[in-house]
Amino acid sequence: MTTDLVHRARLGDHAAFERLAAASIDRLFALAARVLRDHAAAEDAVQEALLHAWRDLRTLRDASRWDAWLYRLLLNACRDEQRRRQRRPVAIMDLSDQAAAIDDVDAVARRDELERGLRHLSVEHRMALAMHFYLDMRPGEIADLLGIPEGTVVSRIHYGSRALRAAVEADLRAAVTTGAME
Amino acid sequence: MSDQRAMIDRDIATQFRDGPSRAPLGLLEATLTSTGRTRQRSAMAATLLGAPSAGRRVDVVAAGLTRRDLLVLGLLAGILAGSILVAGALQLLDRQTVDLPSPRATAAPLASDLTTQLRTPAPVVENVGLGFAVMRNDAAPFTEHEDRWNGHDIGGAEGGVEFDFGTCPNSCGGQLSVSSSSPWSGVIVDWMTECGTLSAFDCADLKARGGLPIRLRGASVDELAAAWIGRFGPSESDRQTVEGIAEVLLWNAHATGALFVRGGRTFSVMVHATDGSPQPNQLARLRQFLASLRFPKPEAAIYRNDDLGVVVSSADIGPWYRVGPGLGAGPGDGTAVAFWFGQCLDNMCNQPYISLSYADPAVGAIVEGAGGDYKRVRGFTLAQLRKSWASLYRDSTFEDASIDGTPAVLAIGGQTHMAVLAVLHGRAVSVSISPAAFAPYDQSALKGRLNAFTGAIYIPIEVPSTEPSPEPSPAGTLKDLTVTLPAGWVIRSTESRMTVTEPGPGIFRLNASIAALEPGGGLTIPRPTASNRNAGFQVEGRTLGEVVHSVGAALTDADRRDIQIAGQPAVRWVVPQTSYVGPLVNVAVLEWKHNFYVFVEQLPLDGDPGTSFEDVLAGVTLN
Repeated sequence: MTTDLVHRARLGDHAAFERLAAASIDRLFALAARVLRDHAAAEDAVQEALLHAWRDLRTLRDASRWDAWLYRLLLNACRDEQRRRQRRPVAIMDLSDQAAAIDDVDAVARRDELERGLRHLSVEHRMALAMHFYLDMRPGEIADLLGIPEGTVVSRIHYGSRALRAAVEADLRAAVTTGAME
Repeated sequence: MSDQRAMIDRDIATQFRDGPSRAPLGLLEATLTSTGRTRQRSAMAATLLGAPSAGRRVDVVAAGLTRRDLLVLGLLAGILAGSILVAGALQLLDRQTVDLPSPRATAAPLASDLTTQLRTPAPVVENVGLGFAVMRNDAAPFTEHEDRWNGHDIGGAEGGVEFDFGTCPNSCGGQLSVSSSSPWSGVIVDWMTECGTLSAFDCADLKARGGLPIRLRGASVDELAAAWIGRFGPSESDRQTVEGIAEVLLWNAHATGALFVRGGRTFSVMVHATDGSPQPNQLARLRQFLASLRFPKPEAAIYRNDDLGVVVSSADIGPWYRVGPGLGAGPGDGTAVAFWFGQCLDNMCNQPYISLSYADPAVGAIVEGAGGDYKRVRGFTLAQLRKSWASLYRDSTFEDASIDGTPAVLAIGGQTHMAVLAVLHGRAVSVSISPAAFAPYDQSALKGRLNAFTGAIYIPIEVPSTEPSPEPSPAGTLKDLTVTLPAGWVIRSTESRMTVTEPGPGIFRLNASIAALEPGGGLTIPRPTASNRNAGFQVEGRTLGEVVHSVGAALTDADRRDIQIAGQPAVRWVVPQTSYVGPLVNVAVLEWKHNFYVFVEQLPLDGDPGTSFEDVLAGVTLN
């Protein structure tokens, strides 16, 4: 049925596109929010991705690849949005709400470091990590959706995770050193 | 340090799992408004302007070329000739008028089309966005009109659809109407056309809208039935259960209809006697229609749990759409989560929140507690769960409940504790509600909310049995060598190569390969390094000594060991990992019946290779 909707949307049936968009928008927003770490930016990226999807739908030659194509458009939109944001003042994410949900002060500190580490990763790395950890996709599935080699996905997950671990461990080491000096 | 590493890794996963699962209200509408104003580009123009494409190119060549595409192709030729008119031509193309249906707000469909197809064999009239579908067949020849109720336009926000029977033309005013709403808003059961005692303001509103809907409010079938009698007077009634949904049919001289609750929504199905049908015929028509209703299980979910096989429908859940750790964060392994109301965090809003917990029946689902000090309800059956609950809370009462048709029990402990308990796929499950911190305790209201939430839990996921698999051990043969491994492993063989895959999810599984090499043949083994992903070496030779030498010469940093495989002498190299991705970790060589068998293990990522390679070697028999 989805392929039927895609066919209809390709012919200009906006109602069919509405149904496709409605079925996808939560997923796209959840992913974009995790990649961009900013809800407003995620909204912009999702809108941009769906706008491109409608405008360029005729380039989608295989209707069964709708999901994969949409993920690629979202990745492009996130990349563009990231570039735009880098030209604007950096949005400060309020972590106090997350802190409220966690008793452990160390955990809050770790998550704070992770958040900082995440912001230093490229959009491509964040997308691979988000698809892996949030959507529970395997590297092969991610590679298929994003149209890149599986090895690249594995590498992005690996290096992304390492970078995040390093950020937290460096912070922990610093904390230990500081504690020793005191 | 390893504990610390595991803790960090959990935090990384949590960092991605936490966050919104639904798009903000209004984003879809805003997006569709934009797309509704935007013209589609031809494939060629879009591709030229950088749009990604997907699918086989032959499709476009065969079927996709239009006059506009050909024009663009002509313009491309112009480019080759040095023309700079392409941009202008594309602008001209974009000015062509494309007929588009006008954009309109559409509620997200409750179920995916795929789910609909699975649950309801064709033909389906429509999944009307209210969470149900209607089978069209000879016995139920309905025609549907969305956003109408007995001939009145009600608008998409009201949630209604009208059905005509048979060949009844649209002008007959509709013969049956379905209304769906939240328990608090109420479902439509009648239409008021006279002002009566209405205030002047309401009367003006009534006249402007051609009447006003009359609604019944209630969170359960019983509450709705009571409201019905309050509106229409004493009525005959009948109760039935279809697809696990309890329905009540009510009729008297004034009205004939059915009421039920599904998910977090209430439904009314009202028959209109506009064609003068006598009462028995109306009732028969109502039963016929109810029999043709299907309820596809939603796919769109704010929460999915493969252990329990459940999803929580984002469409039915109403304002509970934020999932996070509960107060005290639970055990931290995902077996306890909280559903916060709207944008609330913890109990900082004046709203109750829902907690879902599950565990082995012997351990018990958490119903109260924090920081590791939990009260748990244990039991393999509902009776045992009741008993366990009653031992925790004095003066407990119980009511029958269900989770998507699976029997459950609503347990109320004293005045402040309430949970729906069930056993799903061998796990004890608790769905409990905690009252708002700064609001008076209202048991009835909390029960309504808990029931509404429980109604939004669906069980569409097949959960594999946790019983040991009786499947036989897999075995594969490569020339004169056979490998037999424990159940769950996967062995794939070709004429010259065999791969074995360890059971289990994720990417950290053994993926070893065994190659059969004839004397004089060659085999390339990749050994990626940090600076060269394509590095590797050639294994070759006419004798075992030559083959072993070719490996040893390439793996000078490896730990060489003389071993036995199936009683035959062999050589193994334990290889230091030189790459973070795809490192080579083990190589072994065996000669048997004029063939060399080369065993290779590479990890997806660097790390501990474990003992799976030894398992593979131990599984070898020589024929």
